[in-house]
Amino acid sequence: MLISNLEIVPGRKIVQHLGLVQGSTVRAKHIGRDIMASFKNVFGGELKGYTELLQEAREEATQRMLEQARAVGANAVLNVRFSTSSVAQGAAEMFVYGSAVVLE
Amino acid sequence: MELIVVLILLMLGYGFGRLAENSHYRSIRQREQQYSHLLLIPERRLPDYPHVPQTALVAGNVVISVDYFKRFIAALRNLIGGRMTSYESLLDRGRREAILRMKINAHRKGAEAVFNVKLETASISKGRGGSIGSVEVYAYGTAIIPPHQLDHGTSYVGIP
Amino acid sequence: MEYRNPPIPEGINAPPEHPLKNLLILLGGALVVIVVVLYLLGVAAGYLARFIPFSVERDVAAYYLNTNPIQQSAETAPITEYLQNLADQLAPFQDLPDDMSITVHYWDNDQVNAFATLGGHVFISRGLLEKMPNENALAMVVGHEIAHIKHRHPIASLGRGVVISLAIAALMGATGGDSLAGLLGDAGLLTQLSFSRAQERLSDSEGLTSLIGLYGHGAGATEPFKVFQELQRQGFAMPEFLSTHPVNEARIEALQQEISEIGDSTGRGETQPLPGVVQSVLGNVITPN
Repeated sequence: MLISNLEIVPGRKIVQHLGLVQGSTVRAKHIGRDIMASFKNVFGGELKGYTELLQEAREEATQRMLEQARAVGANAVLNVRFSTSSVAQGAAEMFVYGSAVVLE
Repeated sequence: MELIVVLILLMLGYGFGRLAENSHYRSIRQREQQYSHLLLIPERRLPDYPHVPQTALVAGNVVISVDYFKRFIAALRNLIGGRMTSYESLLDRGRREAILRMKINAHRKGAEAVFNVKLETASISKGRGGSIGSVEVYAYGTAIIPPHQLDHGTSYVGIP
Repeated sequence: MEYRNPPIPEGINAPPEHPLKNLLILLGGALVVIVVVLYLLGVAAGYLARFIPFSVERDVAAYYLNTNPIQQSAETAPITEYLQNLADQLAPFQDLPDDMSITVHYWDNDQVNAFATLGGHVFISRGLLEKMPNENALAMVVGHEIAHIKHRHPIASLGRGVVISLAIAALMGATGGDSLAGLLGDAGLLTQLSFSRAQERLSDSEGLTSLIGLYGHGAGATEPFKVFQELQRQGFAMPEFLSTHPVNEARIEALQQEISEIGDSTGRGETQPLPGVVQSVLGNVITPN
């Protein structure tokens, strides 16, 4: 399944526009990562634990969006946008949405 | 003992929260059916219309609050890690409601489709201890109004 | 080009899951994590605390005692002297390390209590002295406290308490749920009981050793606990799990078992009454057993 944040796909024609598909997930860190993060607050540097956590969350959100796209019969998702928001202390919501289309 | 207070609050949160959530979902599904003729296309390019349409910015927003039960579960999740399914359903409701309100506003303007749909999520009123009190979702897009169906300024729909 | 919105199936972004089941799983997981982590931390802290040299304990205790001196009067001085004497007689039977010394204090208080604290200091209260039927019972109590000091129980339980309090504070701060604070506090308490039951049993056993060493028999060993039992019956009864001391029946049984293992004759010796000077100061007539 093609994912792109362009509105068109060069050289291919869009046959059907199937509307909005979205994927989201809310993930929490666990106590171990939190403790490491507090240490890093003193010494500085990349919080690898959190980086991994958010990346995994984004992957999962993207997978959910693709699941919705398959369910409506699309073969590509264009105009993809990502959004992150903090919805609870220590948890972040990853939101991906785009336009499901059928390319010929 | 404060354990009893916690238990009572938990039961209240669980009971009323489940009730509110289920009835909200029923209402959402029913309205989605009702407005399924109004298309939602998150793209910027318009099709070639035979007559040039009017356009208008339409939006819908909703603020949904977290109940005690969900907050308790979120605090436990923070210890163990993993997916917070209690908040996932909250945000799903929020997004669908915001999109529905945007559609209703577009419908009131006489639109037949909404293009370039975008969504914004924000947390409002962080509660005590930093846990979230409520979540706001804002959906906006451009409504495409066929030329012979102009409206004359109906009021904004905040609550359908 | 066709534009349409096919319906999207439910349950992709908000998977259906029964919230109560979720709650139970989470509670179970959280409690396991908390109790296991706190238990391990407590054990580690208790073990490490013993490496603090006894001289440090002594200095800290001396500083504290200097700034908060205990009331001593000329009247009660003989009692203190007698108690110290008794402790000095019992101590050799426990093979204390060279730098460890026991200092006994008489605590003029109605509570029936005796405790051992940092630096080798033991406190015996007036309430306890009044209730002891004979010298052997008192020697059992003193021997028990000496055993606590010998095994460094005061510093171990202090270390454990401090570490567990820090861990609970960190956990509460991290989760941010004030409703959890109460639960965590209770979970922590159960693992944090000062002078654990295992420590008390060990001290019972070693106290018995020094008692038998001094008097040649174990009579009077179970007397203090019978007194405590009587007090409990009159007043307060606490479930064993929540109380820091093992239930008195269990201790009496354990001691009687040990006495019978050592030798049959040792349970039936003569007991000494408390010396006259103590009796006169306490103002009681204590009938010898």
